[in-house]
Amino acid sequence: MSTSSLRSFEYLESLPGTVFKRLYRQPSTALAIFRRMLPHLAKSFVMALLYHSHPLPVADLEQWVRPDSRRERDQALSLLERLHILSIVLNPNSPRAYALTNPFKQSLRLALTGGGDHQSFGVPCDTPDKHSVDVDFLDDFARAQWEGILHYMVGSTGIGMQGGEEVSQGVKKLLELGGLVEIKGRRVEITQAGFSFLLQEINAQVWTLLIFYLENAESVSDMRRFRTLDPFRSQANISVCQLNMDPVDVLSFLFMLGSLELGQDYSLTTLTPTQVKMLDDLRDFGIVYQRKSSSRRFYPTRLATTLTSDAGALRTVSAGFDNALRAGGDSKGFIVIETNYRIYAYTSSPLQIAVLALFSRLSTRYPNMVAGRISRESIRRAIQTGITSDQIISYLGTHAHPQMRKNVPVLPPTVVDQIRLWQIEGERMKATGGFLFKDFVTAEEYDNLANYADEVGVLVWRSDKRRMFFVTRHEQIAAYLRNRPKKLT
Amino acid sequence: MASKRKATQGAVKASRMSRISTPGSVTPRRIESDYSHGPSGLPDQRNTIIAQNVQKLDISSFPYMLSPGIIDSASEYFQPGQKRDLTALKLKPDHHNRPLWIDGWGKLTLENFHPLAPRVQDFLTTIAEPTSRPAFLHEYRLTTHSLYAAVSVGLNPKDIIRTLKLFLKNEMPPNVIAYITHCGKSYGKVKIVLKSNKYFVETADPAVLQMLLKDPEIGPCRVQNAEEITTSVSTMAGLAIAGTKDAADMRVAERVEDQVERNSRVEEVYYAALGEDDDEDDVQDALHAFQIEDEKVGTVAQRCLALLYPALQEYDFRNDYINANLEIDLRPATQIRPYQEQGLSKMFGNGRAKSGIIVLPCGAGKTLVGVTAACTIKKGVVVLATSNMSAIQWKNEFVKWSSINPDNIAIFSSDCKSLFTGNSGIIITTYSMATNSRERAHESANMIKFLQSREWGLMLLDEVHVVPAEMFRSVIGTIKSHAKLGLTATLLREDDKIEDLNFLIGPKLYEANWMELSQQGHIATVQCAEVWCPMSTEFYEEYMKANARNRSLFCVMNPSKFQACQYLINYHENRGDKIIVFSDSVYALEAYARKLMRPYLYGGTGNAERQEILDLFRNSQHCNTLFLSKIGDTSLDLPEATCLIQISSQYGSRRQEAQRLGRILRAKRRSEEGFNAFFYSLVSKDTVEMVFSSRRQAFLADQGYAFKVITHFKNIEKTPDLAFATPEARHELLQKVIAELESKSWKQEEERESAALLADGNLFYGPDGKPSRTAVSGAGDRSAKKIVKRKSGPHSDFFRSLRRENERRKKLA
Amino acid sequence: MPKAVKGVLVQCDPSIKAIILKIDALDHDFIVEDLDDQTLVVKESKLVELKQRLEDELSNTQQMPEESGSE
Repeated sequence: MSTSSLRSFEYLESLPGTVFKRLYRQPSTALAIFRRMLPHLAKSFVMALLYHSHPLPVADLEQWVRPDSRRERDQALSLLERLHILSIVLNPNSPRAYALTNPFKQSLRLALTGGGDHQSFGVPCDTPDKHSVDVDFLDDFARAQWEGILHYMVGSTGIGMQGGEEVSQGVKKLLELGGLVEIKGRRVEITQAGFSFLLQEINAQVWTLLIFYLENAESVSDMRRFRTLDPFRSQANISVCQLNMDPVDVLSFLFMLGSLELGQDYSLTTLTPTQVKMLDDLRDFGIVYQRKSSSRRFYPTRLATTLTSDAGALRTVSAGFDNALRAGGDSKGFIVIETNYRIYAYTSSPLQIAVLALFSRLSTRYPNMVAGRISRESIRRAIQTGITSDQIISYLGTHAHPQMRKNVPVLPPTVVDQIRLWQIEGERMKATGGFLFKDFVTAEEYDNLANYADEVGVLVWRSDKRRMFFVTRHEQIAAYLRNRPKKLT
Repeated sequence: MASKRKATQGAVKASRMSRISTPGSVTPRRIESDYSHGPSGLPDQRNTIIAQNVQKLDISSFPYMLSPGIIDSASEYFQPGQKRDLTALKLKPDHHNRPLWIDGWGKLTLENFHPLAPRVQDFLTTIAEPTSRPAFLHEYRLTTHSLYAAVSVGLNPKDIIRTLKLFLKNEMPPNVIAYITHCGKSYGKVKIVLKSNKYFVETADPAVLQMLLKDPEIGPCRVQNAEEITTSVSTMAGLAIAGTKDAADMRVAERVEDQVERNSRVEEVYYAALGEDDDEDDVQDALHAFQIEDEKVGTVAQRCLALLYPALQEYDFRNDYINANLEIDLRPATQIRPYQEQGLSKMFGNGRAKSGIIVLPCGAGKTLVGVTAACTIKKGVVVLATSNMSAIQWKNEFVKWSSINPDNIAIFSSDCKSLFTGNSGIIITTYSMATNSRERAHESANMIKFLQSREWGLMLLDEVHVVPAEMFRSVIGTIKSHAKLGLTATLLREDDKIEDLNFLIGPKLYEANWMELSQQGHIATVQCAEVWCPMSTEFYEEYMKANARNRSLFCVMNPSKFQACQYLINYHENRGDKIIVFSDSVYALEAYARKLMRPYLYGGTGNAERQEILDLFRNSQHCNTLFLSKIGDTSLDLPEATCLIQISSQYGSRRQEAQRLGRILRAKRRSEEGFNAFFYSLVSKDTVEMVFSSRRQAFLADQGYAFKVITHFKNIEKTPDLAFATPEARHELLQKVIAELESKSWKQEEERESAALLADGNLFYGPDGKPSRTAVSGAGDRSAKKIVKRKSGPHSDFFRSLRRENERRKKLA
Repeated sequence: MPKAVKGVLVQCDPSIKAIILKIDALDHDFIVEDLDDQTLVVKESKLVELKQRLEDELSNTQQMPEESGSE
């Protein structure tokens, strides 16, 4: 399962049941959750129950699954319950049984068979756009917006140069609130979380950012805090902070976007005020295109239409988009790393170059390739900014040139080891705060207490010879010591 | 401040250049003054001019000036001030079909996985220096010397530029084109040829000829009454290098042609271009020459360089009817390998013998290349070896590969002074014998006279990278030879005297690719590892207190290093490997060997005993590990060895590292299926050894060797009889080392080792890794000599006790 | 009755410990308890300073005897 679905799960699962009820009123949301969030087995359960008129006894359902797949079954069931799709019907006269919840059941039926006037799949404009745009334009627009954001993160926003749109204050703040970057003085520094973010595929990145957006849409207190933090930017165009947005509106809109068609323009008429307001922000992300804020129509970009595609479809779509992003460059592998630590990257993308520059020393640039070296210094510099050696290794592996992929393992093991060692070397002493217990009179007393510390999981070091041990917390031990004499006396 | 420093460096460089600025300096006569210290012989003013001119031949005089072609947010990473942004050099539309990039500084980057790569590689080794050859992308650099070499094997600048353009993905920077053209204008235009014992200045360009004749310095050197001669160029037809199928046409580009299938468009264009070149060449076949006085050859050569026409030295040996022929041929069974042939073909490219250097990894058969060159020229040969031991090996190799009558081989070393019979022959000597002008015994003086009075066809210079530059000047100056062939595994010198070699011997003619030879099974595949040995608190405290020089002893005597060594010996002996353990520190060598009950050899080991131990190691199943001091770095030939453990090493010397690796590259078992040799460097953690180690590995890493770092051996504590396993034992060891340092006796031992090495004719590196005549820092020329003297006297108690100890151990073994 | 002492447990290579001992030797203001070759307890308030001085010291111990100026 992709990281993006994991992230969205975490967020969704934290929502109260009432929110789900409202969310599932939209057929588009029910369909999106069904398509995007559910593993195969869970989908099968839903389909089996969708047109079942009576609750299905637990025992019957369990029989559908082979005994050796019990774990998968339990996981699927548990997920469905957490997403408030499935509930257990308890009836004193009949056995425990499963049923789909409403309105999920109704909405999904509507989504699959059509009908109703919910308009949750968007309303295409019925008049032709005088300034109509095509798919290529939308791809370019989305790329420019999204790359602009990534650029900003790696601290390379050009000074009026090409290679990324100027990033809006709202997005900047969102990245900071999400912990992807830190502002140090006037410099933007990417965090460890930010680097992980960069390493994700684009769909996952979009979800990650949207969830930050959702989290901050709810939280008014967050808004206030950051206003006081940054009085000069109180005019900042951030709707999340200015509106107390309804997460159901926001989520429904996102799920709806996922069901729209690329290249089609849609009308604003059926949108809620929250959703209209959202368009400004989604435009900053490159998820929708709207010529002007006052325009009565909008176009979803590829970033929007792939939001809720299921994994299989997603791969091809995202590959298509990756190609668009790389302007004709071939597939993903573009990095060569040699056993003498020279690194070559077949790229002209300022973004990819900026990412490489985070952990290597670049020296030469050709129109289609950059060359440099990784060294102890360059890796340690990266590590100091919070990037881990494993992240670097995974980045190199993910983007390894097809020539390197012919090797097993793909990356030279000596280089991988060395990158890890450079990190370890930087951590020459492991420091753990806590308490040293010493001066035990008897071995028994020492043993007793050390074992207890171990049992409660606070012990980090012990020397039976010297009758000393070190613990991270002392409260439980102190309590244990206080209680014990009482028992003895 | 920076500019000031630059100025000084320039001056230093100037004075150095001036002293050696004799490409193809053949003159034997005025040597004494020429190589003595300080810039002598020439007026200072002229020195400066020459130095400046040499610098004009450097690419730094042709700076890359283009501004970036792409300006975006990534531009800031490419040091805008330093012009490393080459986005101005546009890609060709079909750049995917081409494997090469060029930068504005003469650096070439090759996709080694490209279908055209093998051909391009061959071309690049001819015109550029390989600087990085790992798995995927190789880097080469165009330098003054590499272009000099390219021109000397017969390529002209047009060829070079055209061929480069064909292979390049991106446009060629105008400054590099200008640079190549500029170099080509002067390189190779002038040759100094020794023909029928007369020296001629030769050129194909009448304008150049006129310019030289009118030159106020060269003009007077011309032999009066001698006619200006015009001849047609001698073709290569008819010459075959001994041992090769057919040596007819060795122009790189054309040889490439033989090998290719013509399927790509790029290739077709490539050949079309080359075809055109050939036509042009035919037009310019006339040669003009004038004779110069023998003793003026040096002057002329120097002046030519000053005029930016460095003279190439060629030997038209087939037309040498003055010097007696030597009866020598390769034995019918002797087969030379493709890369050896390739190297030799560069030397004999146009039917004459060019002087220069061939670079082959240790174990890849440098000696056979030398023997084959001798068999091709068939004139008197003088071989300069690095030690007495190596001199004997050279003789054996000549007898093994060629039909030479052993009586025709003479050896002149400190152990042995023999002459050959007949008019012509081979004499093998050492650099130290040939250059030691002081205190020469009568016999030696006669030998030197013999060496210097004759005219040799070929001078073979072994291991050219270890010899101090002034020794070279002396050898090359005093011994008169028509052609010079330098052989080495690496042109690395920590003293940047490589440039000297190019002008003293000649350009680098060929450099093999280590990884390629290894893949083809010519040299062993080696697994390299660096083992980190933590140092105990107690040891490390002492390490910190010690001065820089003493610190090395704590590093090598680190108990955990000792244990790692023991573990590795156990492990590899059980696998059936034969192991050499190297230590620069004689004290540690002895301590390790004694504790682990294995034989050891160092400079002080007597000859008979040395032979005995070597035989034991070669032949006995019970003797699988040998401890060696620096004497093992070169010359000792131990093809049985399959595993190498380095417990102490000389500072940051990349050369020593490469050379030691060479000890196992020739492993006998290398052709066994899946055979791996092993090379371990043990380094004490958190000490200066760590820094040195990464420096030492730089060269091999650029050849494509990957060094694995090992931080821990599994179950090392279960090694039977693990040394220094208890804190008490470690403490005792520490006390011993401290006591040893106080007594300073370990330094004396090192000095003894050096003395012995010196007596054997070995050459050394100082503690800074630079070549010197003496091995011990602080011990100047004089003290080294004293030690030599002592060595020749009766053995000291130390040596006697050592011998006793050795005998005792042998009985145990 | 056993005693509990507040501090930071430092686990490191023996060589690093040697350096810490050296740093502490001046005014004995860092180490609370020396446990073994690879472990000791130091004052929490001194941890940052200790790390800094360790870095300095480490670069010292790996200095070349003399710059050879090669490369």
